[in-house]
Amino acid sequence: MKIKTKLRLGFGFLFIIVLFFGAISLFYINNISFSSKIILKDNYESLKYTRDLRAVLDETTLPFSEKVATDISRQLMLLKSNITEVGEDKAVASLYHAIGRLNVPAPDSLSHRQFLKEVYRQLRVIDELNMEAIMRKNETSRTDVERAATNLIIIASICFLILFSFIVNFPGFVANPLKEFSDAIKEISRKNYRQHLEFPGNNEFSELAREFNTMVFQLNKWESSNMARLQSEKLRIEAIIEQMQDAIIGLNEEKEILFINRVAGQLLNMNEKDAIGKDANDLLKNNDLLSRILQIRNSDKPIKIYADGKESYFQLERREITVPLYEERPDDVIQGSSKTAGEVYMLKNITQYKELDEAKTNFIATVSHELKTPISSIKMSLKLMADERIGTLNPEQQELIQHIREDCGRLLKITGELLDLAQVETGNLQLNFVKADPKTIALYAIDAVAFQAEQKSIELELISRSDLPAVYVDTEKTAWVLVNFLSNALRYSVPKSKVVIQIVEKDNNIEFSVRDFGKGIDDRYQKRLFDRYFQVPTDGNNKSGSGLGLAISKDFIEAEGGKIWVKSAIGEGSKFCFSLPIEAH
Amino acid sequence: MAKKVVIIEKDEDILEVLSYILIEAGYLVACFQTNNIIIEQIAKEKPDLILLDVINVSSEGTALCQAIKKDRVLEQVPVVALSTHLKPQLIKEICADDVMKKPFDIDELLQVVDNHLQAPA
Repeated sequence: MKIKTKLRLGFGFLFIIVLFFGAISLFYINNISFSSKIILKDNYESLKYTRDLRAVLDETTLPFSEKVATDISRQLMLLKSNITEVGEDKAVASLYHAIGRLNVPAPDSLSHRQFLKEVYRQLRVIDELNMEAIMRKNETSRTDVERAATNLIIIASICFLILFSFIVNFPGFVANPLKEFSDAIKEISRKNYRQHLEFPGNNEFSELAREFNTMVFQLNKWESSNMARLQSEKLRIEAIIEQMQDAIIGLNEEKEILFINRVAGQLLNMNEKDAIGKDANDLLKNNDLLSRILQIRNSDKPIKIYADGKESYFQLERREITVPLYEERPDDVIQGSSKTAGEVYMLKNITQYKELDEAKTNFIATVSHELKTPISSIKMSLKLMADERIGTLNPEQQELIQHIREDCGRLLKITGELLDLAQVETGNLQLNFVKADPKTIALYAIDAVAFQAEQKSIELELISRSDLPAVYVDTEKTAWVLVNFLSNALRYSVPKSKVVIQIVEKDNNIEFSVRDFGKGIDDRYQKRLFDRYFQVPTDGNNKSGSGLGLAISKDFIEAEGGKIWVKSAIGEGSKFCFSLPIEAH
Repeated sequence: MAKKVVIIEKDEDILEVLSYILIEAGYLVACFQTNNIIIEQIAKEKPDLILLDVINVSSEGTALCQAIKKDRVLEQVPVVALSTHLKPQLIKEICADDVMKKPFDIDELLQVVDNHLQAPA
């Protein structure tokens, strides 16, 4: 039954009770009122009539006058019509009779007085009857009232009880199911999806309960499917982490171990399953390696750990995990920030790279040795040959020795360049930075090529202040670059021309430039000049280079924090420049 | 009394030239052509200076050099390393008293040898 109907019935019932009670009350009141008023009224009327009669009789003397006789007749008529009590009619009849006898002229005064006494006696009887009736009716009335009151009280009590229990129970009809719903919903908000409500019947609540149950079921299903999905994702990620060849350790915000894979366990000599959930601070008391890893702040240097049966090198990477955190401020502005959710430490096994690196270095050293040793030998022998103590050489021999010497020098130069390049490529370039005066470096370089310049009658002009600020560079390498520039300039200049070396201070740098007045370099080659193995395609005259000089120069200068460039145009010669930062304290 | 120089050098030609130069300069010379020599053999020569050919800067490469420096008898002897390595300064850092880059100038070598032998022991 629908709640609406139930409510209507309920209120209707209340209404009926109230009506019923009202009706009963009215009934009783009517009863009492009626019995006490109207019926009594008759008796009072009879009494009134008898009183009037008595008054008339007292006033008059016999025989009755016309008026009196009419009066008396009237009163008697009234009395007669007002017979209400048992025996009253007999009394009234007797009265009638007595008064009729009065009217007849009496033989003597004694019988006259007896007739009067008879009248009065009948009147008195009527009075008594009526008074008795009044008293009796009063009494009845009183008991009636009492009874009515009692009944009403009883009925009122019953109604009250009914109403009371109604008041107590009826709201429950609606409120109880609502409370059950409210409780169930509260449970749901606490993620307890096992609620089930049952309301028998066919009313709105039972329907609501059915829908509610469906909803809870769906929520439960969604939650478990979500859970299942999250669970499977977690398992997948765990499997991936487990698979990885690098050691991974994850910590949460409280520095407890969240995950640690097999490789990490092996490295740290820990049982991974045991370690999960433990506080890292506790674990590192017993584990030196772990404490090293967790406390390293500079993770540039590789860590040496014994693993795989040999000394291995590991690169530590530490990442902080942040998750977005959205806060709602009081003024309805959502502030997005992030909070830390832990850290992840990764140890990458770089032993292979290290080994490769070492192999490369060794290789270069070996190659260097293999190439330079014979060259050293040749050079030394040449020197000895030029020494007169061993024997003098004739001019042709001397010339031949000179050629050998030149070629040997060239060989040495090329091997040197190749090896330098190899070093640069493996990242092995080592610079010795010192504070140096730019002019001194330039003078050194000029000195190195002085002989060459003299041979071609080319003038080397140096334009430079003597008090230039110092630069912080590897002097040898910088000089090498200058020598390279100068050699190139000499090679591409015609005899009897000039090469200008200029050093200026510009912005915060010292700019070196070597200017030649040769034929210049075509635009399209200028960009590629500093590329490895690049040689400007020429008429075959100057093939003595290796294409490496400028590339190496670029590497050197850039490693010193400087810049290198060229300015050139066909027919106008070239200007090769590089700048180096001024030494700052 | 002439100073004794021990040369340890793998390349035959260079060894020959070096020993010739040093003898010419008035030194006594003892030559070893291999690295697989034991310290005792070097010590037996009682060198005043050791010229050592070093190829690699690794621990194996400088093993002999370091051994010399650790030996109680030889630790005072100056060691001049001769190397083709591109970063010879490292050798100096590890164990040698001086380093000469190969190829070097003969006069320079003689100068260096002279310097180290002149220095008070």
